Amino acid sequence: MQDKERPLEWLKREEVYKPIKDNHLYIDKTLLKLFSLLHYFKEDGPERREGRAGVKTAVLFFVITIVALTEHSFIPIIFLVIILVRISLLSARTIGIILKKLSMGELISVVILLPAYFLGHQVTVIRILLKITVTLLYVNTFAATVKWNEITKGLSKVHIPDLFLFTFDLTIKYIVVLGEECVNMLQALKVRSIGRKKKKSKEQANILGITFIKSKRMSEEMYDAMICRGYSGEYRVTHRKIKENKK
Amino acid sequence: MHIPDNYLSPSTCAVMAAAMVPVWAISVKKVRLEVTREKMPLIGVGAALSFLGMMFNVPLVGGTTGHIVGGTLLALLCGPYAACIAVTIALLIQALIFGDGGILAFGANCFNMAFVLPFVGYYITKAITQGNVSRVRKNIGRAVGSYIGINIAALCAAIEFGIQPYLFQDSAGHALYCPYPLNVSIPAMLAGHLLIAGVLEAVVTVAVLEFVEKTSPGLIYKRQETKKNYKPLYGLLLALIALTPLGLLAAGTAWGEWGADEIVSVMSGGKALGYTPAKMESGFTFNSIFPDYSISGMPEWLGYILSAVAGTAILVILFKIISSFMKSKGKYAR
Amino acid sequence: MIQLEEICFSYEEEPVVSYFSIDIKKGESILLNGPNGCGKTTILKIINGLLFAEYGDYYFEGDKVTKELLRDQQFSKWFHQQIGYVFQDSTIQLFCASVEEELSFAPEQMGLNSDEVTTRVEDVITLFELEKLRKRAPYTLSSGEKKKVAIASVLTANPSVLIFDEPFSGLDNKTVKKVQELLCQLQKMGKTMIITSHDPWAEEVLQARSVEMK
Repeated sequence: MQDKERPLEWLKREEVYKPIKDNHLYIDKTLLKLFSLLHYFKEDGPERREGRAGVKTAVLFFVITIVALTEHSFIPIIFLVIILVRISLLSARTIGIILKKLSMGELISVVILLPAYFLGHQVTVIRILLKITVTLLYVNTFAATVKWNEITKGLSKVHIPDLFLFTFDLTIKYIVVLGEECVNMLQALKVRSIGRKKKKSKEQANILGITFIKSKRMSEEMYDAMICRGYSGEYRVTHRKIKENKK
Repeated sequence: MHIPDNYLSPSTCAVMAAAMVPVWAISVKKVRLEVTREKMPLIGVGAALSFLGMMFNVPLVGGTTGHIVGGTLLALLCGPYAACIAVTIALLIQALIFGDGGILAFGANCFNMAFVLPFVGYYITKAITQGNVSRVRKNIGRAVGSYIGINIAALCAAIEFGIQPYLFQDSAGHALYCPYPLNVSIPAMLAGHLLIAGVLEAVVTVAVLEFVEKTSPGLIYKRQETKKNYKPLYGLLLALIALTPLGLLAAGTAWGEWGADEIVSVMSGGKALGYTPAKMESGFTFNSIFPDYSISGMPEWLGYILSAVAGTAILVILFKIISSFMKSKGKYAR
Repeated sequence: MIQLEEICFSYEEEPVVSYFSIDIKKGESILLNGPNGCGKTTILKIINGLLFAEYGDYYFEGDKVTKELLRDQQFSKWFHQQIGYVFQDSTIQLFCASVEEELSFAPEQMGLNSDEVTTRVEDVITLFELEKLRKRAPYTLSSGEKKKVAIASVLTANPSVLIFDEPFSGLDNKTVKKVQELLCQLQKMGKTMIITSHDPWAEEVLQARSVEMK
């Protein structure tokens, strides 16, 4: 393969390299954003349970409605106690996620309600904050404990068109798939960023371009696979539970 | 013996809080070093036990009530430093959410119940039960340790109360804060704790430790890893939650926990106090969500149970979050 | 040159690597062996700084490599120049518009003068027989051609450590042979090499030290 006339001298010696100053933090920033995005969509821990998504959705709407309409304080408090017990049974990681999402909503609410508190409407403000807390806790716990495809199953029971649900399912799946491809490419870019670059903007555009090409290829292959499995133009979201064969 | 707000002057509160800062710092450091994520549920359960225990009011002499703390119990289960942290957190939840124990007086309450009680009880018990001793001697050690622990803690609280009238008076000679001097506060607090609350603390400590030793012996603090089974403890917690309304049966407020409206008519030495100390009327107020473990619009017993459930759930959540910051080398097998 | 001491790493609370240690001397060839999912790629990524161990220490040329240290951009650039990584899937590391650009990406960043850059690029083009593919876009190439371009683009930075994650997967026999020849050459040139593979070729021909991972 390699003739003796070109000995590749530079490969044989050790590279004494002093890097030039240049800022590469932008790669890490993009990676971080992608990671948190993927984390959000991949949240598929053991706490995401199968089944009864319809019931869970109905309960959620029921609780939110009652809490919003009631004038008594003790009704939100009862629901608060119930959801606290539910949350205390979840894993530390899920609890952290729920509380993080809660804190953002709380902060905004407190800031908005602060003037009213000092203007003398303390009781009302406390009651509103209580209702907001309970509602946010229920919504975030729901989001953390129900699988994505269960949500689509629940939605299908409300007669949302199958085409919409199918696209919704695929979108989420491919956000994850393509997102991971992007992460891999960015990591490869990161370890190949060893000095000063002139045309940084081109890099991420190239990565996105390649992701687009990959997605096009993936969609074509998926279409072929669907045809091979009998697809003929109709979408159907199945709800049938496959009964276990008890032998 | 939760000290409410406005019984101690702000300066007293500040001193007690300052005294607790190094204790907390050292306890946190020790716990981080010694406790792994796997042991955290025990501390959380311990804090829940302590919290629930403090909801059970027991009638004491003189028409007041007291309660157990379980500080020594916790220290014997997970070490005095972890016990300090656990009781602190239980007291924090009680103060913030249930209005039990003052906010400003938090440092003082922690000093008495999270520092003095567990450490005194732990070391006395350990002194008696050193080495390989008979089961009887073990139980005696635990009983004596916890008894003395809670009484020393009560003594501390009594001293904190009793020095207020000497140090802080208004121009008319009326106390600004707690109006009962040492010669009243010490006998009042100690009587109830020496005769009843202390005995109860000892009984509960011994009983729960026996229960744990029989059902899940791996949990006792021995500085080594053994198989742990938490289910019996969780069962105990649930049983306690269901029984909390019993704590309502004992009428009357504990000595030193009267509200501003009650204190005026409290009898002492044959005569009613007759005045409301100035700072109690107009001092620091804090409105918690479940004031005195009750929920407006609900029967008292239901409010009590729901408060117990909420408090326990909050404790579990808090400890799960804390445990996520702890080391977890246990999952790696060599 | 590379020391890993009692490295522990878990992914989503599932332990992937437990107490892994290895000492790699300069110029050594290592073959990481083991079934799928035993943490080989994880170890490789820890070595090249993409992942950080939960417990344990990693020393590269005497420096303890930590997240904090890699935040120093001067160190991290030198570090990434010293360690060349050929990913299992070549497509993710090729993102330039032409093969020429891809090959010159690394040496241009290093600030070498244009003669040196040209020498290096031409040398690897000859080495890998990529003359006809110069102007082609990398994503249009076949998997064998991509692998060659990927390895070539890593070489032009002249790293002292070369990491190959499953270098032979998905290649036809002809390309496998070429890659094997290249690995032998690189070993002769004194490069430290870490390879993961199910193929025992590296152990047999390169005399690589085999390290089993469970």
